Amino acid sequence: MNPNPQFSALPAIVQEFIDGIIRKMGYRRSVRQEVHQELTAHFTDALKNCTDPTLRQQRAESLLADFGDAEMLAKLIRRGKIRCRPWWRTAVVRSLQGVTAFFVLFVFYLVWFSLGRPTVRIDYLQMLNDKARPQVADADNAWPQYEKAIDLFVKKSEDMFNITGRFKELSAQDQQKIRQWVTANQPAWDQVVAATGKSYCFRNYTLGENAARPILLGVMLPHISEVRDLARVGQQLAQIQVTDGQSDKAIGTCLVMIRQGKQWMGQATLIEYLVGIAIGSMGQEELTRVLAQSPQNAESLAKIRGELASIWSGEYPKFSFEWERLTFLDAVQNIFTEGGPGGGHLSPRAMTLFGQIMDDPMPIPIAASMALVHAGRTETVERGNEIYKALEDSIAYTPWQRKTQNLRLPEQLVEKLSSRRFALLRSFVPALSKAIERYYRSKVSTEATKTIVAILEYKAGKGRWPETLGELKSAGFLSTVPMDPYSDGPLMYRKDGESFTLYSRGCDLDDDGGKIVAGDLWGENAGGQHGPDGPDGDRVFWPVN
Amino acid sequence: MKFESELLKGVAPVVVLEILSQGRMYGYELSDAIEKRSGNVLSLGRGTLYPLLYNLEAKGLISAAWESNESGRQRRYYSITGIGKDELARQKQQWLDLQRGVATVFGFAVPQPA
Repeated sequence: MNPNPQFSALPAIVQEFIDGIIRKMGYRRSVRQEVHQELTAHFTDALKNCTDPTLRQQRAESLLADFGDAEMLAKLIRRGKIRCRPWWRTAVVRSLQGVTAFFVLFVFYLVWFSLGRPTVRIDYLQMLNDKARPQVADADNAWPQYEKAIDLFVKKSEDMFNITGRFKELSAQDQQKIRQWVTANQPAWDQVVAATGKSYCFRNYTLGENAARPILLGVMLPHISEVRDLARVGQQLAQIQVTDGQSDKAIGTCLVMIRQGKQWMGQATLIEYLVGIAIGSMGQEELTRVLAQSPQNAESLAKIRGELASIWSGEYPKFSFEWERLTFLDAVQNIFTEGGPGGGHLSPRAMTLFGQIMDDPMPIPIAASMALVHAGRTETVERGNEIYKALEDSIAYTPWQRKTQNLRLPEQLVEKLSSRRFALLRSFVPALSKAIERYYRSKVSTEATKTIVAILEYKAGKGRWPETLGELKSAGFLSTVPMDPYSDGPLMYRKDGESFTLYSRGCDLDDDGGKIVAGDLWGENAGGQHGPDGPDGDRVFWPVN
Repeated sequence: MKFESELLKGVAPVVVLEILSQGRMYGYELSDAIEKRSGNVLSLGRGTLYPLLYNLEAKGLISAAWESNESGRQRRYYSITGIGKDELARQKQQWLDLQRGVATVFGFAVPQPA
């Protein structure tokens, strides 16, 4: 307060009294100044006739006694002044108070939110290894041979990356390079051959360099590309062998590749399963090419049929999303705080660490804003389990059933998820339903290969093509007539004079009479739709294109 | 003669409005006027006066404005508003009715027919 001259002229006890009231009022400065001025004027008027210091002091004391308790007076004045406040000022003050209260609560919430830490209770990695490890002797494990093969593997030199096409169509110079590369890899390939003689392949899943942050998503799958490269050695070797007129050796090489593919389809992770599918398909396609290029006699074909029956005896390797589900659950336990009252939310700090593992660093503010809007732990897990179950159930339906009956439950469940509230789940799930189609394609390709061998054997033995695929079953060449996953019937078969055609309807579900569309093996570019607009076509297994 | 504070609390706003209805006044002048015009019967504690004035102001019954006198001193003058006058009339009628009722009960006067 800036005392005015009247105030300075007042007795000290009065000044003290006024200052005390003003101090205790604790209201806006302009209002306090006004009250100060008014009280000063009051006491100045009350004391103006008292010139004698003693009398003035006595009068002042009397006035103060009349005014009563300064604290009570300050309260009453403050209350009166607050009531005098215009409505708009009251509205502004109330709004500011509301905003401040919200902000304070929000800050408390943020502090509580950011202090929460996930608690890892389940060792999903151990669970995975326990599930994946077969109950058989270690001596039957192919992994040690694969490890040796990987160590011995010689990579292609850079100038070889441009060499594309089948071996017999390459220039002499390129053929020479390929021969040298395959020869250099012969020791590695010998190990692959030894590995495929074993009954199973198992290796412990480890975190490798991600061990400091044990999260299943960080499980290393080292050498997965080398395993695929080893199959490419086999592919080139088979092409060289058939070019050199050694079709029996080429067939043996193809069978090794098919065995290798099956072994890797037996692994726990979806990635390894898909690599197994790719390797097996490579072997089967190569085998049908060898058979097309170098016709075999009935005895040789019977042997191949027996080998294939042996490789694919029992149930076709099971396809499952269990690894993906466990990976998702492990991510949840590493990123969310525990459930219970006020808990079970996404932890911003854990999200940033998760981003580091995914090689997608996430700044804290982004992680925090994501965490604030993300669904809680229980809801996320419930939706996740719901989607993984729908995916698992979808495996039972062929692409034809899914498309004609519009069975899109997993996709529909994912589409329903808010991209903000379920960002984590959406980042895990989307591509998985495509894997189901890969599974069916692999399965029918395997069936088609067995059928081709059976048809060729039938012709070699009986001197004519079978009229129907059913004849192959009756003659004991096939145990079942192969079904087309893209129709509700068997694979399409037709005699074509000196040859035959075996095909699946492909993604568009239409029977185009065994039409091949270059660069669109399964008719995918037709968008899986019926009709004349798409580049229609079928998946033709024979004749070999 | 001094009245008990609770009794005074009820009558004080009407008294202030009544005095201000006769002309604008500043705080000290008003407290002085209350004592003088009530023949020292009504003595509003000074500590009560200002909160009372601010409350009447908040209700829109009186208004206040700073003005300077000839000597240049600033004072806050209070005036009764239109609403204040209406309220005063209503309060005064209530007081008359109350006075009549109390007088009748105490036997001070014969009640007049309504």
